[in-house]
Amino acid sequence: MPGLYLAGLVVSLVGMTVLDARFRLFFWRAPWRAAVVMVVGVAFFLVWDALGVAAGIFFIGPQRLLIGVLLAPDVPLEELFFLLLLCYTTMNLTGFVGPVVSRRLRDAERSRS
Amino acid sequence: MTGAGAYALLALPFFVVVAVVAVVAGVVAARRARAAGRPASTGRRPALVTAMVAGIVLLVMTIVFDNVIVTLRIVAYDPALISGAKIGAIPIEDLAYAMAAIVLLPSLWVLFDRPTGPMAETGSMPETGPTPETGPTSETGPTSETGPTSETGPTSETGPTSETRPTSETGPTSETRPSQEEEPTR
Repeated sequence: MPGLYLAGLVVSLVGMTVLDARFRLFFWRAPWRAAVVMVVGVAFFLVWDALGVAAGIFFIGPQRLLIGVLLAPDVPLEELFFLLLLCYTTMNLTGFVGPVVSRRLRDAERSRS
Repeated sequence: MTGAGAYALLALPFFVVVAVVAVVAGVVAARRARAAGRPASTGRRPALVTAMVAGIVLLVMTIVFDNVIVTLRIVAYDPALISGAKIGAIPIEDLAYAMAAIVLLPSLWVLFDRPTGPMAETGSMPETGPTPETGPTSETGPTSETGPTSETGPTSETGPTSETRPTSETGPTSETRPSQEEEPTR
């Protein structure tokens, strides 16, 4: 069913946004800074994709799940959403794990001394 | 590019870029720490441990996600241009994206922090470096979701806050990044 993949990506992105808002992980910590990180990150991975496609390494398979809009040959619109999800997930994870790790290390430090 | 190493080789220049950005971020973070009167290594270990832990989680998520989209044939590979080593349905080279992301993006996050405005290495930095962008919402109360930061949209002040509160030991919001190391908040 065309659109299924995009729908899955959008649902995931909404989930990431909810987590971000709830725990103040990324955009809810510094919106402009987060936006710049996202733009640079997605651009970086789009270049990677473009080179991979140009080299013939990967391409769109014989599926019926994409909506059919292409950003470039063999780069579907969905890839943009995928990369947004990859970057957002990465930064939400880092934003969540970071403080926990910091606290654990500090507690360990304290109990040693 | 030809041959079974093509996909792996493709990752190489991107890994180099990631490594350079990470090193620069490390240097900048060290300078900031020194400017704030702390050892240059401040925050290095938490940042590295965080990347390891978050990286493992991200790799697991990537393996699951990519297996789905490869199995659904949303993406396909030229078998002649990949190593042939696979995890389930996906070429092992696919993991390069996640590995790059977990190093590159937090490094960018550090680099794009502008503690005083112009550039980072000037001496007069506030201790915890609240950035101008975060403004009042950064460290403060839990209810300010409607504030100036809510540019990403309507999901902010809705449901999730009313659900299970992570009263445990977490509460990641009350602290800053590992890479900029803060004073204990409690």
